[in-house]
Amino acid sequence: MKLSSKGEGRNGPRLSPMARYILKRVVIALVTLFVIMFVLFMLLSFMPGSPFNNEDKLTPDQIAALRAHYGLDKPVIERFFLYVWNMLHGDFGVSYSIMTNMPISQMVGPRIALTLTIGLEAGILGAVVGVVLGIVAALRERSVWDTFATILAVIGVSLPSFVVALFLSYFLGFQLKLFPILYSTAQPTISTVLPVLALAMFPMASVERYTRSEMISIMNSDFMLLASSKGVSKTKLVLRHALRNTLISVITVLVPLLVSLMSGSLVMEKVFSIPGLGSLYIQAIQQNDYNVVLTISFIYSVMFILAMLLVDIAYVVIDPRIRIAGGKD
Amino acid sequence: MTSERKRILKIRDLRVSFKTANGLVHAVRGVDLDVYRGETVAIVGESGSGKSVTAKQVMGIRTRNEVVESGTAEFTYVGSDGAEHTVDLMSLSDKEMVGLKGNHIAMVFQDPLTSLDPTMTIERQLAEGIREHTDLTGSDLHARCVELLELVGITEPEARLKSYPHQLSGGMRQRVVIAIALSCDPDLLICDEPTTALDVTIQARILDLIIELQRKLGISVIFITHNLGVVAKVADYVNVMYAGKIVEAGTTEDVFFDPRHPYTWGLLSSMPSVSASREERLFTIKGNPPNLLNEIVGDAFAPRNPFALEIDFVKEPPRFEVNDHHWAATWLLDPRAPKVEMPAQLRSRIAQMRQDGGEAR
Repeated sequence: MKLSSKGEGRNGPRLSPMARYILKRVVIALVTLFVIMFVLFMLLSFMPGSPFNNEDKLTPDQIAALRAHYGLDKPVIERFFLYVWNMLHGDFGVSYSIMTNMPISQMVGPRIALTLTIGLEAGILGAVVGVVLGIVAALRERSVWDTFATILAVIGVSLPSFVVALFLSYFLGFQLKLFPILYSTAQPTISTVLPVLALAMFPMASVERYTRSEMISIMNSDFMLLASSKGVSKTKLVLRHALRNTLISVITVLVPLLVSLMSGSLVMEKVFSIPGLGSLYIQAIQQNDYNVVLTISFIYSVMFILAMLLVDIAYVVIDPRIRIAGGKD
Repeated sequence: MTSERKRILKIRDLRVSFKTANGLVHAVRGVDLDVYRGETVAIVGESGSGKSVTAKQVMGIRTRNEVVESGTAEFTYVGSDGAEHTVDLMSLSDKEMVGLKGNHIAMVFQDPLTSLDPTMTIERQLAEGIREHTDLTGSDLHARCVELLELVGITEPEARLKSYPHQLSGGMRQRVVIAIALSCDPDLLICDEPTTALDVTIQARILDLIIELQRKLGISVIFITHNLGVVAKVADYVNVMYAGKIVEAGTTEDVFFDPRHPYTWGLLSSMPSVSASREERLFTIKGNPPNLLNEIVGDAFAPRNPFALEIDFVKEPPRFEVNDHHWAATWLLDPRAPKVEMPAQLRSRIAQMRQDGGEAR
């Protein structure tokens, strides 16, 4: 706090430590995003093959004409900055091979909504159920509840999501006929139930395990002992002291989980044939459809970086120790 | 030590064990302890002697694998109705303990760095107990918090109340912990090695604070420590504990100037002293404390005791009264025992202590 008033003369308007902290995080996020895009662009240009997969049948002149048409004959660096420039203006280019000349935004738009919905639903379901199960297991340590939650967690962590998906489609879909086995645009809500469940299993299990062990160690911590020595009932102790301290640490594992959700959704979209971002991504990579790959990578990166940013900010809001450290910097 | 001493805590035959994979560990093996109003009783002993476990029984703090095998702890306090109540703390339910904890019995813990909730301001943590046991709210509650911080010698209490624990130093945090303990005017304060985690200069200040508060507020204190220097400074009564039993008890003068148990001799001899000559090697008690998993036959200290008699290995010594406020459990005090004097080195050391003693106490 002292530093921000010292910097007043030099840096113009005074910002609160909190605003400075968030500003710094946002700048770091933007730089990260730029670096990711650069590396991706380079890697894609080094990849063998070309978007024009019937190249064999085309004469060199025709290929040269196509490359010139899409600007692929220019140096990589120039193409990169051109691409970024266009991107900043909302133009993500057109598809070369999957759906020739279709603007990417039109291709990706409807798919984002679907992928995001499934991902978010699975994320929220996994986090909420995981935290609740973890807390119950910790408070009723070594009870039937604890055993149940632990078994569920071990299964969830060790089974790959596609195995869970197959299990669910076999029993709930094929045997009991409760939910459709494949995604159908006619019943968009009910056909996302199985993928969401299958996708939520892993985050649920890891959050449960983490919450449980964290909660147990906090319940045994010195400050809980001191709080209980004030003559506070157990319920109040848990609500006032244990939950907040547990959730602070649980937030740290949520970020890696979001990543796992994103990569998990690639598999899930394949298993349930969901027309989401993931299936398009795989197709685009296979067919060297540069702009599609770049755009979807960009979307994934933004989601990931945004998630980290939110976690960083959430941290500051809940944990007073970090609030001050941010202000000192 | 006036004639109308009033007993507020009477522990009898306390036995506590811990269930472990290897069997029962008998941590406390029949402890009797009395605490009188306005007096400080110290329990001294090495790690694992059961001093902390004993004191924690009074607070109802038990781990999952802890078994109380026997014992009563009669606690006398003045309730909110103004009448005097006596309860057996060992037979109270957790719910009943909640009403006593913080209110009539309070505790100061060892490590101030981890004793406070890192996510809560000092004011909220301080107010938590007061809210629980009194009707104070709003500005009255705030005023009480300010008053408490002033009581424990924290400057700028208004600013400190808004702080979080990590913004305070270790010594300050221990002052806050003490303020929390005193927040509802307890009858009995348990200090479990309150200065062990602090550096030496801060230790002395926190000790002085506890002594000052104890005198000012007239509360009774159970002081647990392994540091004899601290005992001499704070305690009216001393209980020396070894392997789950009290082996010698008496006033501080009794135990420091006229020790009778060979273990107490060992403890006093191994105290570092400024006046000792440079060539003098620091005394140590050879060997290790017994494994409390095993049944202990005879005197638990016998294998380490250079003055042990044959009977020490066979039969447990009873208590021998030295005077009406001093006893020790050692066969050396039996009239039939051969005359054994304390080591000469210790004798001269005690003489030295007596000389310096006047101003120390």
